[in-house]
Amino acid sequence: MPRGELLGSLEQLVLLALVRLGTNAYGMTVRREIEERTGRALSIGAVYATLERLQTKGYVRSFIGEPTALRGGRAKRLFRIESEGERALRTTQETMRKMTVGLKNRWGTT
Amino acid sequence: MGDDVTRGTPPRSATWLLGVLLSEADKDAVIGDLIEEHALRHSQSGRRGSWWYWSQVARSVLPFFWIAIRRERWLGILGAAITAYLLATIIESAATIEISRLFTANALPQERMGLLIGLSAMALGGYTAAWIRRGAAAALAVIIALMVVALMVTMSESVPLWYQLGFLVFGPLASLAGGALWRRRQCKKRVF
Repeated sequence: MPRGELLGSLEQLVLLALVRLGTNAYGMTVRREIEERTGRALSIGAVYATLERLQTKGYVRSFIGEPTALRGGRAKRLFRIESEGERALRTTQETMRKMTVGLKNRWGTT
Repeated sequence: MGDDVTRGTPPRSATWLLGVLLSEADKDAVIGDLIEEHALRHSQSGRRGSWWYWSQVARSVLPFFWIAIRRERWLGILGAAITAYLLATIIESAATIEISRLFTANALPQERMGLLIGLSAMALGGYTAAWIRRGAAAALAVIIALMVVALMVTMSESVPLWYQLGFLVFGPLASLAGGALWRRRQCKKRVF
């Protein structure tokens, strides 16, 4: 990750979903994971556009899975976070944490 | 579960529209994802979920269009779409002039024929755009929609509303259908 460049909120959500889902991360599970945890109902297009951007940056990689009957015989495109992606995620989270330190009393939470 | 999946078949027209927008590499993964979640929702709630499926497709049009532009070098796609648009407009104008000569007295057949010829020209434009560059038919559909809206704003009083709405709805669809036709022909060529 170039120095000073932080991940966007959607990029962070998608990368965190990939970390949580492990080997079962593909478009549908990523979308559902984010919706169930945050209540944010993303479109499948928004998820794929974010994954595409992250892949271009070298933060994730994708590979084709096996087709299943439940999907009408269509194969999955599975995604996995790369070490560079994990580093970018940690840096962004750490930066946000530093910026929120001391605001607990002001907001009444965290 | 299999029975549920069968009864909860997602809307074909929405799947078709998505298939037109997506590259061959993405088609299986994205449509498979939507079919799987649609089936899952159907088995959980018992409802068909057509509305959810359509909303997913409608909200995904722009992101997938953006992916296509990023991958396929947007300048080339835009150039192909504009070329196809100009070609379609020239054909449409030439045909409209001929029709106006035939139906000088009655305006309604002239307008109906004008709409039919216009949509055929847009479909031909979509076919040509897809032939020049993959993804250009979708770009042409966006250009058509924008042009129709611009014309509706500037010339709304001189043209009937049904005519304007007809072009707004079916113009972009005709372009996408033309692009889909080209892709289908390419797939058949590969198979045989």
